[in-house]
Amino acid sequence: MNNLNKDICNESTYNKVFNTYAKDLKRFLYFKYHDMASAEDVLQDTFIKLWQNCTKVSLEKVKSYLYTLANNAFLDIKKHENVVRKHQKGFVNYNESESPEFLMIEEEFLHKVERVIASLPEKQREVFVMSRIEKLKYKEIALKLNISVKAIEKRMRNALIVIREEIGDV
Amino acid sequence: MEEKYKAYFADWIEGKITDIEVKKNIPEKEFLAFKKINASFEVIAQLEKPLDTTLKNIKKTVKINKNKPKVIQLYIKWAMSVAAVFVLFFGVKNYLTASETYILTNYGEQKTIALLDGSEVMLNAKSSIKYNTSSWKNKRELFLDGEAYFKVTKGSTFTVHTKNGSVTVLGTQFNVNSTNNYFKVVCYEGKVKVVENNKTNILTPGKGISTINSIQNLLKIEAQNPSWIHGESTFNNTPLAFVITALEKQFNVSIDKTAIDKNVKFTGSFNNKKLNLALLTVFKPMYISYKIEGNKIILSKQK
Repeated sequence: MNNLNKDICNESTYNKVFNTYAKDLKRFLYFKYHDMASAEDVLQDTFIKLWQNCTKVSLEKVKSYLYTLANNAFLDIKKHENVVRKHQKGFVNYNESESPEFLMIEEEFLHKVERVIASLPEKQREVFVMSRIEKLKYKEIALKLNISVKAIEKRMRNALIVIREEIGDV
Repeated sequence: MEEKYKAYFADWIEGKITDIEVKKNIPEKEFLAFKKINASFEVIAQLEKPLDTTLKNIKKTVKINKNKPKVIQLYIKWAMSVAAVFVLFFGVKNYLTASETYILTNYGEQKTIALLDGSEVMLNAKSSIKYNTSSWKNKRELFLDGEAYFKVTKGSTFTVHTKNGSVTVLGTQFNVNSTNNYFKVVCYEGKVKVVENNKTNILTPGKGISTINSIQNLLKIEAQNPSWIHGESTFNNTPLAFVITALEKQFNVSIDKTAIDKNVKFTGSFNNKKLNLALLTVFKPMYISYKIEGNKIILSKQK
């Protein structure tokens, strides 16, 4: 990070802080909430608070500041949820994480999937990431890589088979 | 793991076969694994998604908040100028009109006044003090008419001006009684300088000075503080006329003294609360009888 400008109130410094920590913070929040929308909301709130308190936070401490804020926000929300749940007891048995559609993705499991993806042969990985992670259409990938859609389909299928095999029992 | 499961997995992810078809061919547990792996692809995609939109949203919110202080600042400036005008206006008004403070007591009334420097003044009945609040800091001086007991805090010179003379101290306790042709200063603590007709007297604790009809007397006082603050008026070899004036002040009565000798000296004290008791203690020993008619008291020589 730029040593010349350590003032977080400076917009370009702030952007750098955001680009450095936002993704990891989002991941951290996702595994706390197991819900992407909540993670994004809290991420946004956390960085808004950082801006509002930019004069009080030094660049050296910004990381722990962000995680502390995010964690406190999580605790606040959980506290609130407990209150809500108490009041809903006896009325509706409402708990999102227990709905049949909900699949709990544990941090461990996600790491395993990521490792498997990373270990794919280069050609398969390329296609898989573009399609499944970057959400590009086969046609777009074909244009980018200058190969046929058929070839992409084949690489993709092979990639999926490897992934299923490598992950093993779930 | 059976080989065909992997093929089903690839086909299912690609959307080539439906849930129902997959479920027919693989165990429930395997299908759950399919779903979980697929869900994790989605989670990774979400976590790896560029956060440009989030940053944009943050900037938008922050900018809205940023505008707020500007609005407040203008408002504060405006409010400050209004406040300044008010302060100026009242300050000037205060300086021109209210810098003089005037406090007076009515018949039988006593008041304790705290001055700006923490000094205390106890004002006896029918007395008044006047002082300038704005120049008080530089010059502790006040004008007294009547009787007052002062407890002066240490500091610069403290001066009490009266018609009959002035009293100057540095921080002490003393009593000043100044009415027409009657001037009495008693020092209870510290040192008091009394200036009267170009004559200067320094009083030490327990000493007093009285000037009655231009005749000066030095007094010795044993009390720790003037008796009137405890509800008694004390006189020492004082012409009866002044005692009668004091009675009038305390009880708001008018006393007809035409029939008696006003120059007889009186030594003693009277109660400031009960008129009957006061009249009895003053006049009985002087062989004077009195008659109360409403607000008037008529004195006559006892036969």
